[in-house]
Amino acid sequence: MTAYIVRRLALMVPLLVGVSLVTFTLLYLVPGDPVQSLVGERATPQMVESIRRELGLDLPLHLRYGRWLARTVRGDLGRSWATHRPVMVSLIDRFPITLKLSVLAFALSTLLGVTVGVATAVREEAGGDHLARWALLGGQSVPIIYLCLVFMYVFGVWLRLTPVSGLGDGSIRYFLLPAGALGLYTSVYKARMTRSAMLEVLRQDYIRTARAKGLSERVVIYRHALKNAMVTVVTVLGAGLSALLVGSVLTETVFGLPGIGKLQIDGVYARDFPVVMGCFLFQAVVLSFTNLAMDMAYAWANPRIRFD
Amino acid sequence: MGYGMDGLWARARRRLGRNRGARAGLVIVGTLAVAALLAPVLAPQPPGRMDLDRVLLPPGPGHPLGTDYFGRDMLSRLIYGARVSLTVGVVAQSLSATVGVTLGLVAGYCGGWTDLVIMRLVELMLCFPDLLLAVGLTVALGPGPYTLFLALGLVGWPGMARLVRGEALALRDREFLEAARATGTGPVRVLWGHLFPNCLSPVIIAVTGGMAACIMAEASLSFLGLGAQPPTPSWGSMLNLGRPYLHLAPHLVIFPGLAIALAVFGFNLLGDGLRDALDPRRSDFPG
Repeated sequence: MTAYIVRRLALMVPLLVGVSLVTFTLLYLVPGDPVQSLVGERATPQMVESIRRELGLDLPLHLRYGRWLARTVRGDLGRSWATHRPVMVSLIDRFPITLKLSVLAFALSTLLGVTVGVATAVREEAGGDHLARWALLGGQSVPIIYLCLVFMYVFGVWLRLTPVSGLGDGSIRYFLLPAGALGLYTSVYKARMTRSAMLEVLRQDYIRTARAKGLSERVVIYRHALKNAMVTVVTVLGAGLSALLVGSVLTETVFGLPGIGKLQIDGVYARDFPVVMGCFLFQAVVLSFTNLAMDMAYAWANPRIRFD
Repeated sequence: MGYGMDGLWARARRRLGRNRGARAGLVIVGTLAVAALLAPVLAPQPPGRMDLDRVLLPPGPGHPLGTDYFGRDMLSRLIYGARVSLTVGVVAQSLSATVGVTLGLVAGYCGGWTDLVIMRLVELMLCFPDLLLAVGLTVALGPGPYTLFLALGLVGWPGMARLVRGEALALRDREFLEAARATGTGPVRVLWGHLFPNCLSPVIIAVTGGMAACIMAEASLSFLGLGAQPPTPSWGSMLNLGRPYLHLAPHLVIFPGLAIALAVFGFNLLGDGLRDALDPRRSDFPG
């Protein structure tokens, strides 16, 4: 197991270098002059030239990337072009907000997804119709941005139960709507996966045996079936993380929550490359580590899996 | 595969016709396609006609879905919006299917170093959360319709390549390919004439699902202001520009959102039905 983790961590390095290289090249391709849009119309050509030299924009791509990489491995992601704040500081400042949103949404979606998945599978197995299947497919078709806006309207504008948007004093009240929308959005996929995994397991012989020896339906469903279905579900939780990450960017943008996603999109609008670059890298690191954690959870859930 | 291609398609058509979800999906997708093609005929008004005396009207006579902040007819804009969504979906999916299928076939069939290089590239691309890669590309190329095609096309190919490679890998040592090679068929002909048709059903299923994903991604990008630019009536940008009027005129947000959800639902239903019809093994329908 340790050898496996070490190998996975080692493989992460070339992938992260690749991610940074792709992002860097993309940003290098940006048309127009980023310096001109930074300093505005009134700057003299000499000023523009000196800023360009200061930011290292006069160098060719490979030298700029080399400089950036050398700084990055020391933990320095540069400073924002717009605010001059170190990007690392901004990331650390905003991380708790994104983390809080993601953890709340993840907890809600797992709870909701697994519950609904089990309930619909049991109902269908007992001879119900395919209504749940259509409903879940429909749920998966609703875009997260729309769900956010509907939540905003219903709970914020109409019922006035929660603040409509923003971070306010940072209390949990301001996270209810965003986490609710994001959690509901990501729960549908989990419900579908749990449902089909449960239907698969409920067809197995050992379930029939369990029922035949007179175990109560509760024990059969929860102890025998769900435990085995969870092996499949845990694998797909990893795939859900990417959706959670993208969803959190859109959710933060709609609700005006100043997390990493909002930082990134604002950076995109302002063409603030160090910030955009830092956010991309941060997301790639988070995604790689959570994927590794998911694979380990998978090994823990399924003792038949061995890594060496 | 114990049956010929004809048997597979005839059976697929029969199963698809029996599948209520697939039929519903086909109706939704068909309606959207008709709306997109005949938009100038079907729309009650040109999508850009403003009437500043009649702004933010709720749904009612004259304007079945109300008017927006410039007094433009919402129904007309939604009908034209189907054009944007479907065009982006079709072009982007064609692009990602072409690139993904080609690289997947080559990787799976050739194996060795070719496979290794292509699959590392695929893994690298899958490291980026899909929509965020599209955001990065949009920043690099500047927003616009061609950027949208390219960005969403480039996002979709790695998944397709991985899928096709798996199929090709499973088939490459089968007798019918051996026979083709033995009779002197060239490698290009073997790939496209013999291997590709046998990978077709998962590709069709993936493209249908990909259309749903593309429509969703286009809406999200346009919502962020990085996709279709005003005054193009895209559902995503309508959602974004209607947002400030949420408390005054919620219909500005409700209808474009429903349009996106309906279109995505249509393709999802169709994709699900196709999966049942073409690939019975992976069905989550018991029996």
